[in-house]
Amino acid sequence: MNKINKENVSDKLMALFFGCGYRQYKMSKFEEYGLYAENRSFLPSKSIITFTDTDGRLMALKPDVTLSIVKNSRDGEEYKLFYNESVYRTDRNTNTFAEITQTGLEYIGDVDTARLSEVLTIAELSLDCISADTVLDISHLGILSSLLDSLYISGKARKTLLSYIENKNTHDAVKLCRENGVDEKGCALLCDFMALDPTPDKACEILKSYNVSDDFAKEVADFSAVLSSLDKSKLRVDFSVLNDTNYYNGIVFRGYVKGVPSAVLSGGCYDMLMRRMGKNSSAVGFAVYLDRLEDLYAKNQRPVYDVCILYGDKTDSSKVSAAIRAAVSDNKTCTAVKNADGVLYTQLNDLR
Amino acid sequence: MNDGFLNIALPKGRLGEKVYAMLEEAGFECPAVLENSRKLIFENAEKRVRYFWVKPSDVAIYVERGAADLGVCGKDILLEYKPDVYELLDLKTGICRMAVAAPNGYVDRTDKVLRVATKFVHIASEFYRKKGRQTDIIKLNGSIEIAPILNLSDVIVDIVETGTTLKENDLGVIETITDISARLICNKSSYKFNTNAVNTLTKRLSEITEAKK
Repeated sequence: MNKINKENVSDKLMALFFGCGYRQYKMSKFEEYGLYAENRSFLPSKSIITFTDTDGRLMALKPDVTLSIVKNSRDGEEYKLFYNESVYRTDRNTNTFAEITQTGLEYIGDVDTARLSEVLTIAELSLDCISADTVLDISHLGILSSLLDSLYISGKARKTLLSYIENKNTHDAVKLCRENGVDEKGCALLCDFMALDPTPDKACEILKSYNVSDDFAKEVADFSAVLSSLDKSKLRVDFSVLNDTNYYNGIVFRGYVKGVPSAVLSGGCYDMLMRRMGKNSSAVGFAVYLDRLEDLYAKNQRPVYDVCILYGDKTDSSKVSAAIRAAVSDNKTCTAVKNADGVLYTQLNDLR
Repeated sequence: MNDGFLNIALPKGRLGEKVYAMLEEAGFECPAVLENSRKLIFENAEKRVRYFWVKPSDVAIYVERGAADLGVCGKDILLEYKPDVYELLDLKTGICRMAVAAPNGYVDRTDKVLRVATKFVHIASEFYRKKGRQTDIIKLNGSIEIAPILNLSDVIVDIVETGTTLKENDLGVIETITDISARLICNKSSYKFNTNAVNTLTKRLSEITEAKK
């Protein structure tokens, strides 16, 4: 039987995380609402299901897992955790609440180049658990920030420019830069940057050739060091990958699977979130959105059973039961039907 | 459809036909598109390209959800629905503007809530929110110009191309919100797996657009 399904991927991911030395973090479905109210812009969906607990506290059904993990972390300790939890968010299209299974991994502690390489490697392996045809886009918020600093773009214009960069909208980005006094050289640099060759080695080479600022050069050197330690076959440098700079810093990444219309994996370094929550440690992690894989499973058509048990009105029901037991004991998948039309199977057991 | 074809959603109507002509010039022709038939999907196996005719306001949905790799839609649709897609090129056609219009001689009463009739609820809300103006946004699906005449609204927010319809209804533009033109959009995931084909198409269209300037 076709084994590609959400539960199967979830099991593979958890086995991968466990095998890489991370431990599962189980949590309750509820959290005090205040945690999310204070960090609302960190959440992908802003609506939260709330209720009043028996002691009068305003509680929320968890819309996110990372915030709870960060809240419970202590400075000076290292955490290597993964989770597989239900979160409750509004669906962008229907604007109604949905229960979504989210699987992810978080590292909290001292994030150095080796640690970043480790987490990015696990992210690549996570995509391999889903499909052979995947891409991991990687970006660096420090590089982007240094570049925008050199163009003297700030405030509202910077926010708008970031949204253009996120959408690969070069035409409006250049227009906005010109309106904000950026010279033609600066505009050309931004255009080059937005159309950067995604091949990691080439991208780093080009970035190193930019004469932007000392900060920019330092960020590029750090980025280059991380990339050099990774398997680059599925890795692409793409600065349209952005996360909220109020929470994220440094490397951010997003994973895509062929046949799934949106990113199925998203993550990055989130030291800024740690600081906002009064923590001094560094952190990096990612989440895999299993709900987005539905499109992929839908395309995997109908299941193919090892055994199709065909019975009729006069078939002795004990024979059907015995056939099911026999198939299961042989580790075979089976389905018992009165009409095999449209059923995909490899072996027919006709009991009529 | 992961069959190596580039799936392109075109908006039905004059804009779609104009853009198809540009795509044809760019070397992505599919002659069946111009046949007078009720078919909505056309493909050219040699060029590995497949076209769909869809309602203009639906193009972004087709692209965002991956039913089409690429599409062409107005900037008004992108501003209104904010689909999660790449906006690769300003095609510099279908040029018009999003504007606030009111009956000729209209005087803005800032002491009362402004009633705004529009198809573009988010664009109108965002525009007045930035101004700090309290509004009553009235969502209409068509014939927006009639709203102030029948005192349903004080002003309208709508697309203005030549202004003829406004003039015929004794209305005039009082403020431009933003310029609008057709944009080439791409599904983010499709871009990752068809980068070369998408970049080639975008580059050729860009050259055609620049040549027509």
